[in-house]
Amino acid sequence: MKMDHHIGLTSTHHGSIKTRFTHRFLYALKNLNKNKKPISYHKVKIAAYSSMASAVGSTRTWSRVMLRRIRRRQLRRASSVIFRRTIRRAKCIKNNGAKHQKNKVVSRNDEEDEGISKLRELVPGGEIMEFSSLLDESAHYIKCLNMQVQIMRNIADLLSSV
Amino acid sequence: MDRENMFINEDNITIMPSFRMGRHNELHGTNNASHQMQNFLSTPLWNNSVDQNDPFKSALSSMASSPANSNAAAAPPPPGGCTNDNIVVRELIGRLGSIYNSGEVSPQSYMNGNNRTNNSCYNTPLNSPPKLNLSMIDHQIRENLPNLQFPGNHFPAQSSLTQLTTDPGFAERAARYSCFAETNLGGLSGHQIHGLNESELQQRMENKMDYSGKLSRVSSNQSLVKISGSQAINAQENTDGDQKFSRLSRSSTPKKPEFGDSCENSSVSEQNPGGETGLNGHLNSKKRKSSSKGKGKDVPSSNSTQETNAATEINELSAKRSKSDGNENEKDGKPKGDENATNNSAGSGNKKEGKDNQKSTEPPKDYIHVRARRGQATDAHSLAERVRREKISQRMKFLQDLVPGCNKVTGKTVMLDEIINYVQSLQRQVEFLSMKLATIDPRMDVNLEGLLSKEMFQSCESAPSSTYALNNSAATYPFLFQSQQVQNLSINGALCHNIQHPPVEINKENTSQAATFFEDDLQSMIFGKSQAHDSQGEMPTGQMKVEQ
Repeated sequence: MKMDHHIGLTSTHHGSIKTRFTHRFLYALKNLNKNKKPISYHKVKIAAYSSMASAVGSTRTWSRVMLRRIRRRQLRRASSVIFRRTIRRAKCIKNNGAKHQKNKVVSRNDEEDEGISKLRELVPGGEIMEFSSLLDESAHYIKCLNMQVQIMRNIADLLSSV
Repeated sequence: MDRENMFINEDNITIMPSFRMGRHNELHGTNNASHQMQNFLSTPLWNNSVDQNDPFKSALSSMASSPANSNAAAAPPPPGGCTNDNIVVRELIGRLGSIYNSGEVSPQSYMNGNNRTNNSCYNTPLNSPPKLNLSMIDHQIRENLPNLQFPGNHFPAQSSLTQLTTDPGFAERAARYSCFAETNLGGLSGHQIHGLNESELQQRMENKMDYSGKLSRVSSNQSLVKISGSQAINAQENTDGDQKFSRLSRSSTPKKPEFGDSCENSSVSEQNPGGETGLNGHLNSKKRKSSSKGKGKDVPSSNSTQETNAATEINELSAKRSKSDGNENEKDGKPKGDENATNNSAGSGNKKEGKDNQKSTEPPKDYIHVRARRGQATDAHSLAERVRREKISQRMKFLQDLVPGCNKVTGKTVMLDEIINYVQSLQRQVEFLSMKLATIDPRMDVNLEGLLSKEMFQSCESAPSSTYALNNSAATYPFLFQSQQVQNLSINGALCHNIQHPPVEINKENTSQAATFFEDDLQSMIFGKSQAHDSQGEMPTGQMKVEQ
């Protein structure tokens, strides 16, 4: 029944996030596999993440941020090596400065704040979010990660079992 | 205002008859339970009103009471506009009559009316009947009121009456023009006619029955103010443009002491919708709350119907006012209500009025109803903070359910740690799996072929290129296993042997096979294993939850 429902739809539009993700991810794997070189796990990882984010769509902040980051990374890679290095250096400086400042701030619940800031780092786009929305996004993110892990594991099992 | 009133008084007379008739008909047509009321309202009352009006010609312009006046007021500068206005006025009058009957007649309102005789303009004609008549009417109405079910009047007779009588916001909110409540009051008391703006009358008239309840509330506020320190209020009203009105009110003030008790009660009950300690009791207050909520919604709708610009503006103002009032009442009035209700005096009423005036801005639409308990802060900031905390705790709970092993944990920090650990572990798993897939990938074709060939035999569907054909597979996804199984069997064999590099040679069959492969394998893969956790159906629902 469900299949009938999906007739005529492209792979990007049908089904739940799960099916969308599997389609995208397998397609990405195929593309990676095209050039018969050994694939770096990093690429697979990025493929997994990007496919997950695009499966979720732009309704979620974390998916939007994730896609943006991935795209930016690709652009950077495309650009020259020197440019990349400068950016990296600038980033490092920035991060150090930020961390330094953070340490300076003394708060009542240091542990809690630490946890929150950690969570912010983990959830893409969480740095900007308000706490309640951060929790919201992280809940959704966790769900999606769960799904991603399951599907990837299944695919891996399927492929390796043969 | 003054100008208009003066203007109107002179021209009124000609139009009167038509108005009368219209009013009569409509009044009779209304379903009001009290027929007697209608009678009173009808011509005899009219005469009285006219008589009374004479002394206060300026007051006559007031509005509703004398239809002619309303017409004249509406179209004083442009003489041609009278006819149109008349029709509108008739309709309005009919509505008013219905409203009137429904809630107006309450002893308290009556009392207030006496005190404040000045207020009612348009009521005067209707209400103008002598006090004796009013008293009679009141009794009858009391009996009838409970039975009457107007949208606005959910409350018992007394409460409705009190609301009608007390009406702080009305005059102020309407910016110039008194609301129904005032008119009601005036009508009941109705010795002196105040000139309220015609636009107001029209608006109110147009506003449907629902509106009456709201109006009554507003009116109640005014009464409170008046009771407390009538002169200050009068000054405000004067600013609006009704100097005469103020005078009248002042003159009426001496009578106040007599009715003080009733007035105070009414005012208290009205002021604190949440604090029900007043006469009405808890049930009444609750009803009021509901009615107050209704106000905000109903007012805007009424605005749409309005024809004249001025009327629309006024309505908007009143709507904002009413909204703000309702919210304030919910926010501030409830928490404080218990304490203040008994002690309520005009002073508190004045304070609240001031607040209302300040908070004329519209409240957020997605207002979350928060009720402060005893001893809790009630200002906007703390309320917002409470809402935020509630939201956070809700989401924390949701996360708790999501993260395994988080149920037993108590404490925010520990929970956060758990969540972080879980996210990290998941991300690590993704990394690990991607590594695994990367190592597998080079052999993917072979694996897939082998796998597919294996499974083909079992499930009769296999596409060596299943992974490659994913895109196309979507289209062919729907194909049924069973129908194609036989074909697939034959095809598959060929494919397995022939097609080493599927990406290059994907044909429709492959795609279809891929699709079928998807169904079988992926479903078994994805859903079979993960069914315990989340099946396909579960994901979306989970999402929904999260998105909420």
